[in-house]
Amino acid sequence: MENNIRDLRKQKGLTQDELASVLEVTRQTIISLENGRYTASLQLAFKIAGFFGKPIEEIFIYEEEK
Amino acid sequence: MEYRKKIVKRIVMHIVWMVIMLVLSAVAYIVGDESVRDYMTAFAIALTVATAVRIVSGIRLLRDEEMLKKREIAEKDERNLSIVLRAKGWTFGISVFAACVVILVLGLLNMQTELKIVSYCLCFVVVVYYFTYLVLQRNG
Repeated sequence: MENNIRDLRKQKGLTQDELASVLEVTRQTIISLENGRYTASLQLAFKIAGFFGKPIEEIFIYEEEK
Repeated sequence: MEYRKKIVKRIVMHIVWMVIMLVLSAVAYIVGDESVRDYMTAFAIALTVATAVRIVSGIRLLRDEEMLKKREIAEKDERNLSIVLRAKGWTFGISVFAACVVILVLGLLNMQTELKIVSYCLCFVVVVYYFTYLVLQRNG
């Protein structure tokens, strides 16, 4: 799933490691999330949205599978 | 704190497990014939070394707060958990397939005792899988 996590992280001036630390996940998970290779669970999505102070729909772009 | 307790429990379980397996290995060594003794010696050494490494690793974790925290995050990380589940699924599928191939080969070689053992093990694994599936389906 596409998302804006990389842009939001850079706006806050955080490294991937720092963001991972805040969200209590591994750096590899952040890398996979930013590259769209991994889709966050609902719990993690809410955590990310809460951290950036934005609604989930602004961070994760849902596209229906064809 | 909870994770620290979990690591302590694991260390204790590893020690108990190591002692039990060493005792069983010693009994098999005393009771068994020469071929069993060779096998048991190698098994006991391998087991002791592997378990000792895990015990030492656990103790090192308890002494380093930062490493403990990183390990906790790595163990609870949802992506890692997903990868572990998928790896276990693949391993199960490949193991069942390999067991079927082994059964065919043992049948062709007319090794009846070995064939029966592998067949019973395969049946046990498949039954456990379906039982677990039903339980998880009901409770999940």
